[in-house]
Amino acid sequence: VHERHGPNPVAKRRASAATARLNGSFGGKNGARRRSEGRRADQKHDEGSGTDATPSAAKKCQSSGLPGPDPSKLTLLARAGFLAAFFGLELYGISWGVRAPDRVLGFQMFNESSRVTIRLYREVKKKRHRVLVPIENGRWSAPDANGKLRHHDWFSRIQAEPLYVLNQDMHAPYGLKAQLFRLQAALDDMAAHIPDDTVTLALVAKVDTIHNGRPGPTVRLRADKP
Amino acid sequence: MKLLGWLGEEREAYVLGLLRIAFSLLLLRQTYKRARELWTWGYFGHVFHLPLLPEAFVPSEATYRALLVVQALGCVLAFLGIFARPALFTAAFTGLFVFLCDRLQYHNNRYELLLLSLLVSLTPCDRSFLALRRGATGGLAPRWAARAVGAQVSIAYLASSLGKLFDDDWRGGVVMARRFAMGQARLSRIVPEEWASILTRPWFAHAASLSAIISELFLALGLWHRRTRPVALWLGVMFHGGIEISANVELFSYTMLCGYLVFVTPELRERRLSWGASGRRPFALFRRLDVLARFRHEQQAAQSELLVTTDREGRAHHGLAAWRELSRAMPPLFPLWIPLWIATFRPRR
Repeated sequence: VHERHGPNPVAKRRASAATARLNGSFGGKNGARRRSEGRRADQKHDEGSGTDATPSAAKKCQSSGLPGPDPSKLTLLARAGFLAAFFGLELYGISWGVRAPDRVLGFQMFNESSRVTIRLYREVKKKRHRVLVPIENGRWSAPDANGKLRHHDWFSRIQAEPLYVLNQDMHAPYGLKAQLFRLQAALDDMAAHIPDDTVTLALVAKVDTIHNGRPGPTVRLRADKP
Repeated sequence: MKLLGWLGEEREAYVLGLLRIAFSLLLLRQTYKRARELWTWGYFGHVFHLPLLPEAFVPSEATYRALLVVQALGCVLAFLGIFARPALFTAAFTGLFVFLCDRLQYHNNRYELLLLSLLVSLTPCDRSFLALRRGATGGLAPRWAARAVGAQVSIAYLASSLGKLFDDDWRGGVVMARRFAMGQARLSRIVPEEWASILTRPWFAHAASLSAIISELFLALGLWHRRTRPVALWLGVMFHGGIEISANVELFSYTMLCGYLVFVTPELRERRLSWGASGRRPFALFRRLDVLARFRHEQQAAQSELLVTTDREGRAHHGLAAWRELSRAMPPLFPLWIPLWIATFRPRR
């Protein structure tokens, strides 16, 4: 039992279609003739082999699937312009990204196996001295301007992993620099969002670092209340 | 002039329909993940976020919800093939905009998926695999955007491999060694302790790092040459299979594997697959599995062998070599291609 399939038309069709394309695109002498050859070959292909299409579907497809009029030089230039703009922007993004601390847009996959442990403190004034008070479990309370005790919560604003995990050794996605950069931004953000806290002068984070398996320095980050 | 010729090239567009289906589903999955994050964690704009765009561009919660709906709708329409290209373009563009509103949510795989989807929407991917026009077969159409999709796949590999190559710790195996150390405990539950301990040896991590860098470089460049392409595709399937098993990379492996569809030769049914009288069931099965329309399927009552394949050059293959040729062009069997190639290898005299 043979399924109905036409002869293998590909080599002939591809050659004629390719020639038609090239000549047609640049207004070759025999462009029109070869374009029609390409169409005929393609029609033959669709009728003969195709993808098991019904006659009506094949007919519809022939009406839409055949090569359209050859693109003008303007169209080709527009395509070239689009590609140059698209990939130019992307490559600029990559070159900027590999220098950015969090490697954003840089396609730097699995770039480090580093780890961080974040410890959080409040800087408060005690007997004319500034001292660091540990923030236990990410929560603290402080009076507002009216003397009413207000509760504050690190996790209520900082939800990005691993920044919300305190006092625990965590993997640093996209590397140490990325997480230190993000943590500094998180501290700045948090400090700007506790206007009710009249006691805290600044938020401080001490970060124990392990860079690709090697113990690194303890980094101290600080954000003053605006 | 060569570049202009390349931009004006027209090839069969049938496979691009499958590319559209794949990317609309992947993008829908990404949209669903964002919607779930919104549901679980709340709107990212209400908490600490770091926009890449100016803060004024970050949408309100209501707008963000609307954008997610638009994105999801675009994906569904693109999947069905209704206004497929504008729908996919809108979904990808919306996704890209939202993506740039918070760099804390940045992941390379999400960025790559959005860029690829955007480029796929520019290809003539709306001519096949249509819900309302079953049996549409593609036809000749401009190829330039499909090549751009291929270039995007290569750029991701190239940037990743060069980044690793110029990093001393990566090149030396230090980064991989830490990851292997984490995986050793898991592996020791499956294989003997001695075997699992190989993972922690420095030479193993060094060799694995070099292999990864070379693989990515080869994938970036090898996909473009006709002779190296099948090997690069096979290597890519193995590479991403390995990553998918060993690491949590969201949709990265699927994104890249779907991107490989643009490297499939666009022309259809250039090979022939002939089954003997006893092969009625496999005939029906493989006709269904041949989603890329690589073969002309035949059943020959007079054929004594179960399977004979004929390649593009018209050479007939019998026995194990026939299965090798079948696996080369049939995506579900593709991982078997190199093992079968090795099994059937005969040195030229």
